[in-house]
Amino acid sequence: MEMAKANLEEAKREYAGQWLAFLVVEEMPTGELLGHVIAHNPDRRELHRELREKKVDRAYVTFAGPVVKPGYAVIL
Amino acid sequence: MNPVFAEKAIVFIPAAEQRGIISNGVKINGPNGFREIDMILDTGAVYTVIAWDVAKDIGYDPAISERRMPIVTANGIIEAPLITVQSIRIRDLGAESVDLICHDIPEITGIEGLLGLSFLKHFRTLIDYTTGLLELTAVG
Repeated sequence: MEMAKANLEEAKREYAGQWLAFLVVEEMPTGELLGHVIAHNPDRRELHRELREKKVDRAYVTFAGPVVKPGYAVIL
Repeated sequence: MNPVFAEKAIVFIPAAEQRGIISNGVKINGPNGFREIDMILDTGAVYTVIAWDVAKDIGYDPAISERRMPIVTANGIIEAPLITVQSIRIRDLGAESVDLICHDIPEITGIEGLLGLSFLKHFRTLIDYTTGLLELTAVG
């Protein structure tokens, strides 16, 4: 039986504050991404280590939270 | 087989993220596969930058890279590994054999890379802050 696809934004709400590895299966015309959560971890490096151990060859790695911490500004 | 790329990619910049222009889901390809990551557009950066872990995931080992580039950080000048990835792609627009630096962006941000000139030089780049639009067009 095929696993139900998850919505990336819903997955981000479920795992708020963590790093997610998401396998994108489908992109809707609205830009919404559907797929499966491969792994999640509050520690970015641990997430990547897990992906390498599992030999995951394709994944969207994204943070489930604000890209820039509130109250901070990025100067590059 | 070489990837087939489109002529134009348009990225909408959500108003809440206009403190920095974020491009979501930039695809970095290497010998072991690809990672899509969120990157900050940095038109002042000579090189595109990705985190060490992203490079390792797709089959590169920055630690043994013989090519090094001095970069200025908040903690002084460091020698960072320079690698050439198979391709970088935004939406359906891409560039092959792109040089980039491996360096971890501080954890205060939820991003794993900077999109710099080593990628952007392949395109005509239009940033329209009034409409929240980043438009990349292939040239040549």
